[in-house]
Amino acid sequence: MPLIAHKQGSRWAPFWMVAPAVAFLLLISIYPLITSLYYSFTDFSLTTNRPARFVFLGNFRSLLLDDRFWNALKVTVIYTVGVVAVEMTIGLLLALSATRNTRFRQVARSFLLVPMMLTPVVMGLMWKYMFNPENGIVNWFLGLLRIAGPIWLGDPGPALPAVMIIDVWQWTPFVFLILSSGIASLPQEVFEAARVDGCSQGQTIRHITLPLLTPFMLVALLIRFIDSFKVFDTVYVMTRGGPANVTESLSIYTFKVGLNFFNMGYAAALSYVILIIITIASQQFVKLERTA
Amino acid sequence: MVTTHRLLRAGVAIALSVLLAATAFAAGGAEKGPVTLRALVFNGWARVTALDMQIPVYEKMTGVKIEYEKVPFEQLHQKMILDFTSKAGNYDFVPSLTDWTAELVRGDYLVPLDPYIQKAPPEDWPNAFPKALLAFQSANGKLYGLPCHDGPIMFYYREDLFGDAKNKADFKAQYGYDLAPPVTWAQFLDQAKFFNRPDENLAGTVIAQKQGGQQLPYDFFIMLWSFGGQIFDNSFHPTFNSQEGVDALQFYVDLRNKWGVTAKASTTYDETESGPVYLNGNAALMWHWSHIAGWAEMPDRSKIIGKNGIGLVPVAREGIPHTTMLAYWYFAISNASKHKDATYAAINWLTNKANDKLDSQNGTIGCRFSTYHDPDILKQFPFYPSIEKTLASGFNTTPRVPEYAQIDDIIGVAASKVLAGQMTAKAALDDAAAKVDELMKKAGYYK
Repeated sequence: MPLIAHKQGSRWAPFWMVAPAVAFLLLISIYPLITSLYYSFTDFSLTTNRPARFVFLGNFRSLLLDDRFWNALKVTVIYTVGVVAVEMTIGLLLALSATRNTRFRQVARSFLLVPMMLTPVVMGLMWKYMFNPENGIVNWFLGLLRIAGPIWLGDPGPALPAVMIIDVWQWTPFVFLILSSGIASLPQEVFEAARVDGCSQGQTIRHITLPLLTPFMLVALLIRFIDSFKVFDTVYVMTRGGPANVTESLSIYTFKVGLNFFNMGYAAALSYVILIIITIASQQFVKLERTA
Repeated sequence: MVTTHRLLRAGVAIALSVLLAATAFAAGGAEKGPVTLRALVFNGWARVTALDMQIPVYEKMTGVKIEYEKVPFEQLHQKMILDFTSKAGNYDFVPSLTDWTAELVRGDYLVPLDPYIQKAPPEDWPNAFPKALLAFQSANGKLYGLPCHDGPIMFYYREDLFGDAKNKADFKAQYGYDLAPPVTWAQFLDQAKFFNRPDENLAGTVIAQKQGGQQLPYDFFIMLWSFGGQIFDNSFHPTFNSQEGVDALQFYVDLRNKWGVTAKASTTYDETESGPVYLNGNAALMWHWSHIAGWAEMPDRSKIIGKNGIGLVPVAREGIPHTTMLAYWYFAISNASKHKDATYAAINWLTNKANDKLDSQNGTIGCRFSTYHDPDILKQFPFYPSIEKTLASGFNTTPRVPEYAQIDDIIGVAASKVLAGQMTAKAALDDAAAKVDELMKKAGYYK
């Protein structure tokens, strides 16, 4: 009897204990989400001394006619597809080659993870100096190979590849981490059976490892897609979206609209478009993962 | 036993949640004790050196503490506006750039100083400062700040290189006229080509052409005026895409792309990067803000002490009046400040005669007549008569409209696209003019 009374009495206790923290989290996440949705339908600006006026879909209409939005979308798509493809490829190759847990591989793995530990702003500043066309180490190395280094962040040709290189450098270890953990978790019996049946390493990778690894690859792909689509810190620190807007991603443009021009209504509309794109794309990844 | 344990756990959980919430929402409660004023400044601001000396003196004198928060320059404007909008009052005073006055006044973010000045005028008021340094923080007949740093863009040249007998003879032989500070842009180009000596690590000139940087739009405006163009007509219709504007932008771009008299890396420089190139002796000619004139004579900042000359910004052809860009910093009081009286007293003291002189001796450009005429200052910094003369006439400024931040960005992108070879000067300026036109229409300047 006392045991039953104890179970009934404690049923709601966990909810009450976490309620204040949950309420706080809702306040700092859901409230801004709803407020910014409201502002996306207004002409709210931080530098006018009047209440925001309702413009309904005016901001979204302006967005569709805004060539700078389309340029930013193009830059973001090129950036995302480019970095994710390279990171997945290199990450997978590294994971496949690091299956044996030798001492050397353990040490190499630790060094490989260092870029991930750095904050994006530090990364951006570091690479900005490395890419300096006159005093930077990258052009110095190219000079040793008798190659004239470009004006990395000052010419439109190399600027976008330069910022993409940094993303690949920083986040390939993340992909490697997920995929090597995935490989480590695969059932060994299948591989033993394949060895007994005389499968070559190539056949094993193609017909066994990759199919089994697909769910992990999709998780890595999803996370990297979301992160790279939202790219901001490194690009802002290095180029501010220039030269000639060739590195101006959607996040950079939204930031400028909101915090340089203080046109918060339009910035909110841009933010929601980014959210919708990411949500739709993420849903497709999740569907793929379920069928994999 | 079970009940007590459960109560204890619940109590700890609730207490931690409340503590977390209280910490998160804490915004600095009411102050008790002596007044502490807070300011916002930016990294690398020339005024900070003098500020660090002045603040302890002020505290000892009045008991009022002054603290400042430093942020990167590109965050200064944002942080300022966000604080003003939220009415948090985290900053009692800020250094505002004159470009932002219209926007800040429209938002009702600044305190008009006129009532304070009536009660406690600055030293030598009303003849303390040149009228030009009170003009651009005024709006609707009210004054919103006291000037604290910088002045017009000046034209600089290496007096030692220009005075060298061999250079003079070679230049005359090559170009057919005497080597002297340029009057026209054609002369400037001749001299920049003449002094462009990569083997001696000397560039003809150095320009800050980075998109998103502060300087690129300013440079276009200076070029535009010096070619006889204007940014707007009297009704705020954009006119910068006139033939004068196209010629100005093309000349500016050609300095890098066609003639190579500035480094190709100029598109990665903002004004904080281009200035040191000149001060290190690696460029012969430059136009830049006034503080360079001061820094050029300071041992910790310059390798060209005693070698810096000041001239007028050239023009496209004789007959066009010489002009330059005037923008400067002023201390402004936030409308959300809880210590407005104390803040006015502080900024009044920080901009008094003694402090303006101290500022000038520590990397800042003084703003008072007393500084311009001070024998000690003139001995170390002989350029002040040039600044005073420029401030008396011969300057222009950026459009004094709240929409300036967007206009600045549109112009910067247009110039950057021409530098990148993506658009011709005409196409880029026509596109920019269409965007500015739409912006001004939407803002209600015309239909």
